[in-house]
Amino acid sequence: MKRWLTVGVAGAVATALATACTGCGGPLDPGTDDPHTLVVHSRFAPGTYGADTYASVVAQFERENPDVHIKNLYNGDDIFNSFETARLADKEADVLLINLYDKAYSWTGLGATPPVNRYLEEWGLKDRVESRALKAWTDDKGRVRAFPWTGFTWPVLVNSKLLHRAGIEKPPRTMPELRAALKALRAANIPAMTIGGNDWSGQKFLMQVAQGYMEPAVAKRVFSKGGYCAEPQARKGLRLFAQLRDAGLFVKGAQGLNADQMNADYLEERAAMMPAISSTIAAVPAPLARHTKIAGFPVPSDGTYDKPTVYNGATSTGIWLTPNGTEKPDLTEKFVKFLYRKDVVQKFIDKSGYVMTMRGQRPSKGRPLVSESSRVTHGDTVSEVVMPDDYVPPAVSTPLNRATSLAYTRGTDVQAMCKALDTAYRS
Amino acid sequence: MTTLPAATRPAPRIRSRGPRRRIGIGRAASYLGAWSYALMLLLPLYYLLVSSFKDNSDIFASPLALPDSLSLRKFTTSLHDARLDLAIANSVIVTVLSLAVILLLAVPAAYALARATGKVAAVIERAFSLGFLIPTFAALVPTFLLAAQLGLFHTRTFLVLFLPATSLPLAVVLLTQFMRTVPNEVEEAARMDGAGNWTVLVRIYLPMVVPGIVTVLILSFLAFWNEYLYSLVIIGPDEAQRTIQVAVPTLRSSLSTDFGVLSAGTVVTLIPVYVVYAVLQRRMEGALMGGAVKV
Repeated sequence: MKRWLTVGVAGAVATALATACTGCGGPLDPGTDDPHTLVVHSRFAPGTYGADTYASVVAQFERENPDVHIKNLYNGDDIFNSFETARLADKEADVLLINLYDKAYSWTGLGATPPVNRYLEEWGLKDRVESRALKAWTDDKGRVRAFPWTGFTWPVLVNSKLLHRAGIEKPPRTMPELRAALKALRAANIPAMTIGGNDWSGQKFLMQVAQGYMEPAVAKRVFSKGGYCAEPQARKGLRLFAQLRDAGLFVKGAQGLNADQMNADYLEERAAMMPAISSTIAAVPAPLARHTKIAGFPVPSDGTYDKPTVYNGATSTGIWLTPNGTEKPDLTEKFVKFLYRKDVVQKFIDKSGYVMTMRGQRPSKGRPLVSESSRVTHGDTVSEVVMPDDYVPPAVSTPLNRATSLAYTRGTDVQAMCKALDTAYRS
Repeated sequence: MTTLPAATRPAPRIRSRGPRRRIGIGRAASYLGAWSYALMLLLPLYYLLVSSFKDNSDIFASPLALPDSLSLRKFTTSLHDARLDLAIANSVIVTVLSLAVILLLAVPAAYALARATGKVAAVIERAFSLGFLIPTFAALVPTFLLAAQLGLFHTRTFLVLFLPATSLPLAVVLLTQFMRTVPNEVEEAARMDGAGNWTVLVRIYLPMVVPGIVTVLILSFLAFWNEYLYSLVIIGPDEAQRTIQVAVPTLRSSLSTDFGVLSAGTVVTLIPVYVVYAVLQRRMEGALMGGAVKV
């Protein structure tokens, strides 16, 4: 009988907990129905990049607006699915802080999120945004999908100390310089470049190298519809990638690594180079940052670009309004204007090393390497290549990442590589 | 302490050296297989545990090495960052209430099916068995629509009502078999003493099918506690409501992840499972062995 008593007590406790936590305002009370609460759905979960800064600006907003409470919902990579299901049930958050990627490209067209053109004008925010950011967030029908907010740079980090140890004076800018550097690094037993050959980081780099021979219009077409095998420029670019791979550009086992392992390799100084997005650059510790150079990736002399290439984008995080958010116009206006405020934007730049797409902001004081990456990326020593994410269909993104792994496997020929990439578009 | 005279001292025990046990090749191979299998099961757990005390660089450089320190920093970080305290409370609420619902529904159903002799009962019992054929994933969209229609989307309540439905086929089929082993004479004796259906169920059947109930509880507990897909879709990301299986993945980010913190969070989710299993293990093993003979 004792065990039944235990079960009964456990049930009673759970019932009491469940009853107590509904509508009591306690930590287990969702409290999302409160008209003075603005629900914000983001990836700023505690512990992630930029989360501390976000938490501090939210606290500042609540101090300045004591009648408004910000209720934060966090997701990781499943945020797109999570938003979509909530939207279908009309239970979505009021504001969404998320990048323009994958499924998000189709939201405005499908009516899942309203365009923000009107609000940009009415709230006087249009002049705050860099024009390239506005363009990046605008669809082909002129609808601005969300308020542009953060961007990214994606250059190559070069550990000059390791290069010097191999007898190389400066980061390679041309193919002959790169091949010479690979030879010297191999002789010094230093792995040249680390990469997450098994995920998005490897996929972006593969496309970056392949674009060495692809004109922007061709790259956009191939990224949109596939056809790598049928496109001579794409084949030539993939051949260049295969040659560099077989010449020892990547660390051993690159085809099985992911971005975290790539970061660990570079941060532990086990590899001389790494393509890095600005959020990763912000995480480079000061001692390593002192001997890290920002560079583009060398291009072939007979290729499309005449200067080393980098990625650069303005679609990292946008402030999306949702249908529920438009029903709380006062709260959303206050919050969006606050996030656009110069001092708030500067906080993200200084404390977290964010690349913000707002006009008139100072470079980061706390993260000089990020500032340097912005300077180099927007300078005249590098060329910007087409960002695949802007063109690859949402359903293809994940299969394309998987196909990338094959390209990083030594000995894989161009035919096998392009076939795997084309297959991803049919999956 | 007094010394016993030699005559009264017990004679020293002489270990008889019997014939040496020889381990045959077959037995050695089975030992090897069993130990290899045990190691295969233990290795991921060991890896998870040691990773909870390491930084990323150590995890990637020497994955199986022991940690340099046993600091609990990663555990406290995972608890704080993913609000695992709230997530555990939510998981307890959902799991315990779902277990209560499943017992409330499965026990009377199994009793009725075990005692019934008609064809209708046989059809109903088979209908319960058909529940095994529905893939979990296939029910996701209709379940989501149902939750939205009922206004129970983004609530724990819907999951408390839904999860028992997923385990009900197994619970009913299992308990029915256990209840069929209760001799009719016992029930008849109770009825002669004036016991009604409810009394027979509570006083006669329940005490005799406790191993079956424990089995259902453990299997259902594991299913409910570890459930991810429906919890993610139906309850959603709100940390005030989300369960631990939904909370832990928020420790992972595509841009960079502290795998030590993620491992620590995973260990935290496993602890209740091991505690429950350790407490009820013997009952369940006994029931499964018994059930294997009976069913």
